[in-house]
Order: sequence, then C-alpha cells, then structure tokens
Amino acid sequence: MSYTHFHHWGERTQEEIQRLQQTSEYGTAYNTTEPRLLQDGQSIIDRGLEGVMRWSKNPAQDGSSNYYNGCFMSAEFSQWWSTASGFQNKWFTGHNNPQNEEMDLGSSASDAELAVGVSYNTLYGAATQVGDPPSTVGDYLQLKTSGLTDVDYSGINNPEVGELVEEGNTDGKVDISSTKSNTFGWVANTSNVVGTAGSMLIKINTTETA
Amino acid sequence: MSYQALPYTYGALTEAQIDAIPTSSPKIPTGSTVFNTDTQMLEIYNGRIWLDERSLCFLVDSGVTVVKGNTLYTVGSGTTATGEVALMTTSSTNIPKFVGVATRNPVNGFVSVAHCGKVQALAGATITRGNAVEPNATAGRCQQETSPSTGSFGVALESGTSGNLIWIALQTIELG
Repeated sequence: MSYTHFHHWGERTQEEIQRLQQTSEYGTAYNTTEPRLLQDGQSIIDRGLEGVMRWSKNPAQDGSSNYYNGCFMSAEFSQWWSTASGFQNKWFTGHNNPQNEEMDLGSSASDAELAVGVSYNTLYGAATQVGDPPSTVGDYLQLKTSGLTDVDYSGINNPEVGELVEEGNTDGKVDISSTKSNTFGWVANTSNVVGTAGSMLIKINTTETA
Repeated sequence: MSYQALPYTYGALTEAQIDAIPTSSPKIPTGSTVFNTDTQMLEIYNGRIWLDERSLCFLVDSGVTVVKGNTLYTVGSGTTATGEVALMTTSSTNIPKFVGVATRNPVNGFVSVAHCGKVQALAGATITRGNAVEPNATAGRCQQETSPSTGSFGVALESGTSGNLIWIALQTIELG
C-alpha cells in the first residue's frame, strides 16, 4: 500500500524553508524550469512562525523562459509582487506603487496608514508589468497580513511589550508609536531587541488609519 | 489505497474547475478538500459550499442578490439579528456590522465571505491603486478614500472602474 504524506515537505525552520524555495540543495533548474521541485498545494510545517503553509506555484516566465518563483501560503498570508529584493521581516505598503498588486518597503507615516503586511520569504527578483491591460509578473512576495510575525526594529531604546508600532527609523523596520496614529500592530515580544535595534514579535493589526 | 500526488480529495484545481464539480449525484462528501490555484489556498467543502481558511459561510438575507466581490454586513442587531448577510451600505450603523467580501457567487443561498487577506472586491466608482477603500453608495460595492478614516476596510492594490473586480488587501473595518 502506498500513501501520501499529508505535509509533503515535513517540518522545517524558516531558513530551511527558504533554502527549499531557492532549491539550494537541488540546483536552480528545479526552480526555474519544469519539472519544478515545488508543486501547487504541497504542504509544509513551519517551525519559524509555527503553522502550516502550502506552496503556490508561479505560472509566469521571464524573457528567457525561466519561471518566476512561487511562495508558501496560508490564511494568514497574502501573495503580492514587489520591486524590492532581498528583504525579510520588513513591513510593506500598498501606498503610491506604480504597478498593480505591487508592494514597496514602507517608510513614512502615509505608508504606515496603508500598511499591508510583513515579508516572510526572501525575494530575489523584481516585478514587472506586461500586456494590455497590464498585469504584474515576477517572483511572488509572501506577506504575513494577520496574526503574529517577526519584524525588524529600528527605534527608541528598549521598547516594551504592549506598545503600538509604526514606521521605524529605517525603511521596512518598525518603531514604537508615540502619537498612536497610523499604527499597524502591537508588540508581543521584545527578546530579540537590544537597545534600539533587532527584531520583535508583533501582533499585526492594520486597521488604525487615524 | 492508490497513490495521489496531493493528499486532497480533488487535488489542485482552478476556481472555475472547483465550481464545476457537481454538488449532487454523487454528493460531494462533507470535509472534502481541494487546493484552489487561483486563491492559492486549501478549501474544505462544508456540505453546502467550498470554504478556504480565511472565509466563513453565511446565509444570504431573503430577497438579497449577492455576487462575487460584494461587500457584506450582518442584518439586524440585538434580538433582531439573524446572522444573515446583506449588501454593505454607507450607513454608519452598518459599519460595525461589516463582515467582509463574498469570494464566490452564493450556492443555494449560502455564500463564502473572506474577512482578511487578498480578495477581489467589486468597485462602485473609479479606483486608483494605493488608496484605501470604503463602502460605496451602490450597496455591496466599494470606492477609494484618499484620506482614510472611519469605514475604511482595506487597501486597493489594483486600479479599475465601476463594475470591475479589483484586488484589495482586506482588513478589519475602521470604527473611528
């Protein structure tokens, strides 16, 4: 009798998941050409943010007929595109972006007002617009849009649990909000913050628009 | 037991393929699973409709016509609350009752309603990506808001005109 593992890729840490996504142990061809290593719906247990995600395969190809990369998804994630690259655990905004379904690193208060989520995977390709009407193609950007997430911190000294967060001193990083306007989450854990830098666990709450 | 590539009842299908699965003769067993390659989420059949993990099943209020992309609120309040949904309006009394966006057309009066994440919402006016979205004067539709405040429930990530389904990042509605 044969059977199928319900969680096809077993349990892995965040770093191991990204290595799997980049096909680091298998060769790039399994990422960019068929048969691709990761297939639609294949499940994995995430030991990073603790949960289950399923692979979403990217059907689009670049000018060299290489497939763009997909991403893992679950109910607490959304899939978009970005022209930024190489970022992880940064907050992203839908403010003033030139392409449909495109996100950019957040920096200002007006960005924070339209924050969408926090990046989880590592990106390595920029999105572009094709066709008429235009559609966006490129590597998928996986954003955590609800629940708990790790986000990089650059702000006041020694932030405390329970405080609200807003845009930080560096693009994509967060700071504690003094005005309590345009906030998009609150601090759940500060054990990885040292002084004014590091990363923190936040509860995402992108509803404050005052 | 035979091998299947994915451990889901119907494997991985597009939304159109999922909606084309006959719901009777034979009846889809409750608890059946499928990976929706359009929404990129696992869906479970609850005996009435297919639901993904960020959606809830609601009964549509009698006489109300709901289509995919409509914004919805729960009808009544207190002892008159029915738990049924109707098309969202600009009324301030309906803002606290906003529940989300219909992700499919209803089946036998039941509709799947997403409360967060990436969804397609029906525009009631010209919308430019990067703006907040709020209820529109046409019930069940949304419009852009350049100074988001009470009533905003997400961010438009696609531009469009009235009648278009546009991608938005759906969030909890702002109560002010």
